[in-house]
Amino acid sequence: MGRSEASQNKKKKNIPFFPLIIFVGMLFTVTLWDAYLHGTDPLGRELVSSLILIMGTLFSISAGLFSWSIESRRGMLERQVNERTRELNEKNQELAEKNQEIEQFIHTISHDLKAPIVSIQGFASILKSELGSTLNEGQTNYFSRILTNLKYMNSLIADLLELSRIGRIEEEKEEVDTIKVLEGLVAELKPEMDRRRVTIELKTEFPKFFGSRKRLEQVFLNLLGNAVKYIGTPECPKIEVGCSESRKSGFSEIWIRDNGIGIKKEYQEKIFQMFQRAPESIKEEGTGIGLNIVKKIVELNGGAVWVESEPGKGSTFFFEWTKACGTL
Amino acid sequence: MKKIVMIEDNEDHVLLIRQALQSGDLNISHFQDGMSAIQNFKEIKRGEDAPDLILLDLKLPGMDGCEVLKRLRQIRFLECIPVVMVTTSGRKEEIRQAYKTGVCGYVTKSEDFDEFSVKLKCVIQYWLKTVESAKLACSESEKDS
Repeated sequence: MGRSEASQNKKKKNIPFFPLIIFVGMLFTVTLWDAYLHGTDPLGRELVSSLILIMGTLFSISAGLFSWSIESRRGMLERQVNERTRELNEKNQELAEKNQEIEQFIHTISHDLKAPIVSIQGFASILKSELGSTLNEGQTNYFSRILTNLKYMNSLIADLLELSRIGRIEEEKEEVDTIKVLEGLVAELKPEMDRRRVTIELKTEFPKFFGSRKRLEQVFLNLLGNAVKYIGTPECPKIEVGCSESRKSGFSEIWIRDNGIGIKKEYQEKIFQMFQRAPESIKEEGTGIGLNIVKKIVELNGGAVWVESEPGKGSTFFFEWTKACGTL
Repeated sequence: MKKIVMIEDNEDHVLLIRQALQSGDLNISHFQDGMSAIQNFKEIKRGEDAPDLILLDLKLPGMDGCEVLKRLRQIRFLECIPVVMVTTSGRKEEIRQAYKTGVCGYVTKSEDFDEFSVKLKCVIQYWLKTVESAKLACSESEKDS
């Protein structure tokens, strides 16, 4: 490798000499030709004629060598490019295979983890319903705790699986009708919204966005789901969603505002990290992964996510997302 | 009594499915893997001996549920038997793949047991009734002709 690089450098250094040789050769030939045309001495003319012949030959050889050098360098570059392309393709193939292996591994793990949870969940439910009225308050509480923990484990596995897929699995990007996405999600959250008497209101117009529909839906679902979950008990629980122009070119800034329990200043950055939850939120079920998923998705799409909040007054989550082409 | 065949490798899940379906008037038999089920089905000589419905797990030892289904469809008397996938995986790609391969229903086990039980019974009853009505319609058209 070292030797081949040295020879390449040598060739590189040689190349500027060829045009110089050609230039000097041509200049010399022209001078001789001029002497031949205007000279009167026959011997001198003979000499000049021979010199012209020699110079012509040298000139042809130089030009030939120059052309050969260019050609061989082009060939060498072509070979290098082909080799690098082949290496890159091999690496890509290797990575794709590794990715496939990881996907298979995660799939197997998730299945193998879920199977015993399903069994425990099933048998606990059967026992609970068969024992029914014979259970005292404490025993009923134990069964509820078993089932709640199993539900939590299920969510944890699902969230970790999702987190492992973001950025690793290529998602199809498309133009997304934001209003339709939001309407669908509000319908999905309706039972929980009714339970907590929360309303969701779209406060502004929404442009069409561009990106992975699935991931954008996930961002909205996690943020709206959290807003509903951590609404607390305000007099008039409400969530507002809006959109404005982002300072970042080609992006919109979306905000989701609630009048819920709010987040203390010291937790406002931490909550975006994995398994980090604000102490105020512990009363509600959650894995501590949802906002980390949001952050990963938004940042992979080139945007940022942040929160402004005051405990007891509510929170506003902001995130940036790419607008579709042609959208103002 | 309707004959249901369950292809499921997890003994706990076999018990749970049996429990979920216990109130129905069903005769449930069980195979632990696809290969032994296929071997058994190949010995069916008459249409009356074929099961009325098959419950199939997706992740099975040796051969996965979709592959088992493809092989089942090649066996005489099983070409049109409804097959319902019952599995822990709720991934969209797998559900799509299962329907493409030809399952009639897809029930995930990873839900609340009561919900799972109701859903499974509904899907089974729906397909048993559908097959029953199709058979009835066939025999009536045969009589007419």
